[in-house]
Amino acid sequence: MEQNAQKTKFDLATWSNLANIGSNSAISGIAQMVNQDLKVTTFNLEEVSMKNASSLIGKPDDQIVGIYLMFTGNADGHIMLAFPPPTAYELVDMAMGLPPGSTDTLGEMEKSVLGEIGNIAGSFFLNAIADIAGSRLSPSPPVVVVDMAGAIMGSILAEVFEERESAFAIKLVFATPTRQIEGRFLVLPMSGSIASKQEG
Amino acid sequence: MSTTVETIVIGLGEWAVRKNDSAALTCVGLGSCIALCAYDPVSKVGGMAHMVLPSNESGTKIASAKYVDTGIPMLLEEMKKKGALISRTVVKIAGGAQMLSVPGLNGRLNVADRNIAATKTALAQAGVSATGTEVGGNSGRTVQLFLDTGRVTVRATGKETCEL
Repeated sequence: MEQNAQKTKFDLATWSNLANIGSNSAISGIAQMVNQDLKVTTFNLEEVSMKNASSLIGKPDDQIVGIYLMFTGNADGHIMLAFPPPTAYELVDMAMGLPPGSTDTLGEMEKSVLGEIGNIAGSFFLNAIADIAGSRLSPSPPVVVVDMAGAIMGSILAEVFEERESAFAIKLVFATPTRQIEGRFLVLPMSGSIASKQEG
Repeated sequence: MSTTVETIVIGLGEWAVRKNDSAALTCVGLGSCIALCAYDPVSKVGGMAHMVLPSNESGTKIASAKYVDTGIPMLLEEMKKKGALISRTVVKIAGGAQMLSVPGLNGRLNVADRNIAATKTALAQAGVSATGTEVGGNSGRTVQLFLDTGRVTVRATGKETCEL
């Protein structure tokens, strides 16, 4: 039992060190793509229960745009970028150099742009961590979905909590200085040897 | 004059059974999970479970509403203890939507279909059949069981609320 507690503490510290660097890298990737000055306003690394995890990207009935990637390699896990729909529209305008207010719905092209934003955020996060840890972490293609936050998180949490009662969540909120854009970036690492690579 | 119905939110892996109550048991933002709604109109005993996974594969067979295979018998047993007769209990199910499909990962995250199948199996084992189902698809749902009447409503994303 004590050994488990020590392992838990160690994992938390390791992920905390790596996650901070990875998260800042992810936000810098998004900032470059949308040509905006983005800052991390809140950073949390916490152990969450399944019940609490269901509201990590918003209240369960909040309508959100979620950009999801799974990662595999030395460690497995899930990455989610989440925005309220109006914010997602603004991001599309910024990424495509369109006048503000041009986008008011998400068709195939707009979803593709958002998927690319998720792809960049996920890749920047994973590459920053993999470079430090000397490990291999590969993202899946991004999936963009618009629905209730609880519904989007459900199948992710089913996998994360299949054989455990708590999980680590890396959550950060980022925004422009004017808060024109505010989004959530969530990582749920599941398993793998990334922590043990740091141990030595 | 309108009255406000108390809403009791049933979170992931949670369940509740109430008797002679006027609240609405509610699963909010249901994706791949299954909401099981059960109601005995005579004893006025109603219950809801918000089940996340088809079965407990960890080897620790803890009865929990997190799993369909343990959640359904547990809910029905608790209803019996509160005076429900299972033979006259009306059961309705909703959820099991495939929200995320990641190309090239051989169906990882595809827990929705397994949840639906496990629910049908567990209900059959309990000798119960669902009289209302709203499962599958790829949209989120909010499900409510009104304990005064047993009425069950489902609101799917982008659709009007409908009665099950």
